[in-house]
Amino acid sequence: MILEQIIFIILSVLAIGSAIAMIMMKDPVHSALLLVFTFFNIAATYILLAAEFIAVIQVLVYAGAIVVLFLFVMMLLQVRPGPSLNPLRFFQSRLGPFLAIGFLVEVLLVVFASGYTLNGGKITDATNTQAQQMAASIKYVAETMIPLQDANGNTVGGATGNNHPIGIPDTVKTDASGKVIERTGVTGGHTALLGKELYSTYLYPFEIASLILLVAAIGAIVIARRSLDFDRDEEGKLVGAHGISLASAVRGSSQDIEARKLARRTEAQERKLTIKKE
Amino acid sequence: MIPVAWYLILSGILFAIGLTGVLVRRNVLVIFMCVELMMNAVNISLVAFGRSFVGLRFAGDAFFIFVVTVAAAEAAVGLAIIVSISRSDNTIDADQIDLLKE
Repeated sequence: MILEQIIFIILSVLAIGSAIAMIMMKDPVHSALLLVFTFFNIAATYILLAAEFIAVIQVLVYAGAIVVLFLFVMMLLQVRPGPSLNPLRFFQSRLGPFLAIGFLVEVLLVVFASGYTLNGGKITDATNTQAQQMAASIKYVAETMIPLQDANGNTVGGATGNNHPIGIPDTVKTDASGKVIERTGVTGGHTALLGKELYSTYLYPFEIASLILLVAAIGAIVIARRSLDFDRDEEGKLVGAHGISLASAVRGSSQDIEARKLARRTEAQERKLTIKKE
Repeated sequence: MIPVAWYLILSGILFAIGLTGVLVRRNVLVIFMCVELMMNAVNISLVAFGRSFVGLRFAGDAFFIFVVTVAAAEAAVGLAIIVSISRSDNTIDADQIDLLKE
């Protein structure tokens, strides 16, 4: 068993262990922190897959942004630790794991039935002929977009040895003094190639993704906006609405009219509610 | 070289753990975290398949980007809904939230 596989097994065990611990924790804050640990381990497995940019995105977006968002919501809601697994609901707590294990067995059956026919069960590598073909097809990308040397003859834009599984080996021509005069091969690395691919082949999906983010941002603001509350002084007299003080609005302005309209409507609703209660 | 089947097994196990969490837990926030974990499990298999099939080139990696985008959008909107519900009902227990049932 080679070192790469040993590292993969260690990372997998850590990721699975912390994921199991995550769903067992009583306190949601502990769950969130264990989720961060799981995401870090998954990011490390992406590096084993030679996807450095993906690993960085994993840490930045998932561990950085999304889990921090969760923690902020927990801070706002002041969640109390509840029972991690509900012992009262039989079907929920007993049947759930069984369903999940059934699903896992199905997945493993499919993997074992077909896993070793997928490219010989191997991730493609630089010595693989298929990898060479692929590298030839992406060669134009790297050669046209990555400057191979700067003005002083220093190589720029990625590793010179190029052990990247999806790249092709460098062929370097040097003159008598050892100075590099020509270099062919993929020097861009994973990030540059993925960027080129995203902005060419996947341009429309990329634009749609940005639109989804815009809609989600607007939606989140609209949904989480504070519901209509009216500020009252001690005697119950209306002094403001919507976080806007009535006193501050210029009399007769559209803002003032709107606030007064809302105030009338809410007062009528409140009256109706109190009548119903009585 | 690591066989691609190993990545798929890791992906399947993590997905099953996330599924267990979604089915068993009652705290809405933890359910959301488990959904994120399931998306991550799918991402692992996407990138592994992208490396495995040469014809795919960067399809797996590109799909990862899109899945992350959708996950971020979903987390933002979902958490906004949770904040809104907890303001009106004062609970984040999934069993207590039955607005549409009545």
